[in-house]
Amino acid sequence: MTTAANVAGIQRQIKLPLTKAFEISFKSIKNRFWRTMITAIGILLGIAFLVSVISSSYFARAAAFSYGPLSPQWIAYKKQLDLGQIQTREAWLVALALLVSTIGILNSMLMSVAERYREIGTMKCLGALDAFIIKLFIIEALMTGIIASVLGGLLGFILIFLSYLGQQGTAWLHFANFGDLFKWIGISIISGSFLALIASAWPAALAAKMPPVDAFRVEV
Amino acid sequence: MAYNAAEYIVRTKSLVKEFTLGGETLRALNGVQVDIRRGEYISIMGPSGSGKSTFFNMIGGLDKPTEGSVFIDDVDMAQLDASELAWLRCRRIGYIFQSFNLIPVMTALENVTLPMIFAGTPTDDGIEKGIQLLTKVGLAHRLHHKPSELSGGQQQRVAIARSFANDPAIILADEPTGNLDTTTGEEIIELLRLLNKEKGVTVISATHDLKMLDVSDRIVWIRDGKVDRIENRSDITIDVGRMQGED
Repeated sequence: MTTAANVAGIQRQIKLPLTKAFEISFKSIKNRFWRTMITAIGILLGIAFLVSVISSSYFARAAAFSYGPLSPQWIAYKKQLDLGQIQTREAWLVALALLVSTIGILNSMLMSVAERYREIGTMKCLGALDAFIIKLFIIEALMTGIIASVLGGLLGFILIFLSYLGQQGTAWLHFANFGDLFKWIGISIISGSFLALIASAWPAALAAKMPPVDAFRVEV
Repeated sequence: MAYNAAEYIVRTKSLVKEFTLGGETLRALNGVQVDIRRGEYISIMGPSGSGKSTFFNMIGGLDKPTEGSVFIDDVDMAQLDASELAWLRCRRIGYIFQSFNLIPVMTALENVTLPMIFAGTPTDDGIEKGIQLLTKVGLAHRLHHKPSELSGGQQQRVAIARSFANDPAIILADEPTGNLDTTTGEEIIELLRLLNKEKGVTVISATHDLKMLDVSDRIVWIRDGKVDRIENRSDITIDVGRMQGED
């Protein structure tokens, strides 16, 4: 079928070069800086909470063991471990932290996309493909999400680290499994960034697929 | 009457649109048939709830009809896939809205050059053309201001410049003077009229503004989801009064 587009030739397609997409996303973040900060802080605090819960678990074990295998501290700790009390408590804390982080990140990103439905509708009218809209929001979400998650991870780790140093001295450092801990912190940071990406790209994709008139009608 | 394909740029056939609101079905458009000629300046008029905006959204590709077809340049809009529709919006149609719809984080120049980015225009050419367009609408001194730093009339002028970014064949203006005061509205109307005459672009506007009717070639009256009548400007008399002390 001959359409106007085919007749015009393949050279005149619609495109959004990656460099331009980065420019636009960066400008969006820069110009709504404080709004982006609030979104970022939502992500940061969620990941900080999660990382501090995980760090506490590793440091508490190390601290108890640092007193010696025959010490009252370790015996008490081991008793709770055998009864499953420590695992239950830690599992509950991690689950809670995951829930809080997830809801916090989802809320932040959903709000920030919903505010811009009109903008998305406008871009569709200017000829943007759905993929452009999604690309722009993914870039923004990754920029915000990665930085916020990394800072959150650092914050959570450092706070708990300093707190244990202050309370327990340095003996426990020798017994803490930093390798494992850093692995889990890395996973948390990646999860935070990934969640921010999904929580932003999904609603943006939905908005992009709407007929523009519906996107304009949305009132936030 | 022999139908000349090149003469009509937009044609609609038995357009029907139904909305389901709260369990009830509302028939906003009940079989609308309009043929719009190339280079024409046509206004769509109708009271609130008449289906005027719905009809306007159909011919602009902003919404899909429940039944019937819209042909732009003899191409059935319903047959277009997403990227062809996007191409159409990028290259053939320019939109002007009542609420301006500029991107708030971009300057006037960036707003005007955004559609050019989508069209693949090289950056420098785009900037040059953007400056030309903004100068033409009288905003050469406000290139790097954001919408929040511009008055309503200035924002609408940026929107007009933006709509011409990729040399469209059709301009769709939805209540372009709706959010503007009388004097500014007149300037916008004059600007659109000039661009219509100079560039031969087809201008389709949905409006309440009698002063817009004044510069139209034809007027389509919509009532209760149907075309009430189509009149040539020359067939009607418009008396627009002025209040004393209005200026």
